[in-house]
Amino acid sequence: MSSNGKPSAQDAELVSLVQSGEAEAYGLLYERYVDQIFRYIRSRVSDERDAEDLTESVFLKGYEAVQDYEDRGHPYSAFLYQVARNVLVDHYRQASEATSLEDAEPIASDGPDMESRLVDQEQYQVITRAMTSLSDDYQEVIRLRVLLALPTTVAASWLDRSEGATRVLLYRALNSLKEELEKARGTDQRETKSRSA
Amino acid sequence: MELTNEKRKAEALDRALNAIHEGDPSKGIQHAFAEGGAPLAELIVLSRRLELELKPLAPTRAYIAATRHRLMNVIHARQQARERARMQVARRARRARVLRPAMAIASVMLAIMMLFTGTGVVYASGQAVPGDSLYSVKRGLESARLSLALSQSSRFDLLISHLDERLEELRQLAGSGRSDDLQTAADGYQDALESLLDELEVQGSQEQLGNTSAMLDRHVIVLETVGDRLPDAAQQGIETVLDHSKHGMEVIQGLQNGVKPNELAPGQTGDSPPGSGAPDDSPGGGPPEDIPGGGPPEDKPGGGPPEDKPGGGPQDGNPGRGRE
Repeated sequence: MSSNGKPSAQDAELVSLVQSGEAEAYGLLYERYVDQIFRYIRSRVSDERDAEDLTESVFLKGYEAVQDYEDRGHPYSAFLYQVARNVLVDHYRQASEATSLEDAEPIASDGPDMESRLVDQEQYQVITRAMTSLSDDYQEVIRLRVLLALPTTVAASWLDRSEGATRVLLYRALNSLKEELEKARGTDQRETKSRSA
Repeated sequence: MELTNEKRKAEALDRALNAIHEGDPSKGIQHAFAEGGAPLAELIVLSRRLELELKPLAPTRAYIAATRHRLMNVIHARQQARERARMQVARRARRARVLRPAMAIASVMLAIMMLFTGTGVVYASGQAVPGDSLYSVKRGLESARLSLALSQSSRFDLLISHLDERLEELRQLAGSGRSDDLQTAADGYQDALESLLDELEVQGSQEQLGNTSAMLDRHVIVLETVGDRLPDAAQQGIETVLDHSKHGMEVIQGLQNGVKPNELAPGQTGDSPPGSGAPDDSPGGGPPEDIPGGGPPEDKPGGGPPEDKPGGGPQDGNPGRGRE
């Protein structure tokens, strides 16, 4: 896909090749999007092995549905994102597992982030609780735009919104999260005071 | 007015986030502060904190390679299955196209034969064996009846009866000592067996496969008995027929196990997938690395990245011809 997330001619060409029986073209689509899809799923399930299995399932289901795929101006990753959401719904239903972030163990990242990360379990719990208290739309835009660092154009196509609406949604989501965290901090300070009194 | 203000701040936040994603967090925060003051800068700091706390790990290269390998194997296998189904449908359609005019011609021929030769001749031809003057009439009538068969089951029944008839002819010729005509009868048996196996391959039911297998079992016993009675010189023809009967049983066993005859080398049963087991020289044996379903050792959990062999996987088996 083109980095600006516009309907990618290359995506459309590859999908067309897959539809005409060129399996290798699907291999290229897989290579192009496996990182984004895996990280999206990983942001929503706590177990790495589950994330691996679900990602594989997304690409298999994506292939099964490719004959019915119609280019509607979105990048192919937006289609895979919808498949991933459905796969996650099935996964939660089957596993009766609560949605991700609250249950997720602190997620380590590789490279320099590993060192810079403060592995403060308490802080982590506070922030994940605040995240899960947000509406689904707010959580989702934060995942895509902040955690996955997707460009606004891509996040907008995945969320099926305009770029302007996606920017405003993110602005509201972060403000809402900030309020939740301030509330949590206020509660925490009151508890500390009452304990010391 | 407030909405416009919110939109402006949202755009400033977006630009600042882009600066962070481009690898310059301090520039992002400065940018936000310049455009939206402390409240906007706080949101950027919060975004940075979220990123540090919750950013999901990327998939490992080994996982990406192994999953791609598995994915492509599954896709190739599904493509092959679709292609087989498509070819089967095409073959049926082609057969129907060929048979339609043949049926018309056969009906006319049958009517003409009945008209000019009378039913007596037709009846007498039923007893003919290779070398008899009426034998060609008998085979012509068989072909005509086969062309007129309206359903697969009636076609199957006719093919079964033809094969039984060929065996009976062999037995009669051997019993009467007419060794000279044995080869014609043996060829006839092989042709009838080929036609029957073709029919079973295209649309044979499990019941039909079972019946044919039982019949061939019986044929093998009869052929062995017949062969024992013949002089040495005449035995070779019977032995060839015997080999074909036994191979026919293997083909049917393979079809019962879901193996296509063209994946079955002569002498290979459907018990094991083609290409598996000890390597041999038979067509379809294939080198050990072509073992379908086995997958490369790299596929095992925890294994290293598999080699991405173009077109690798089960589809790479080197199927031999079951029946040439």
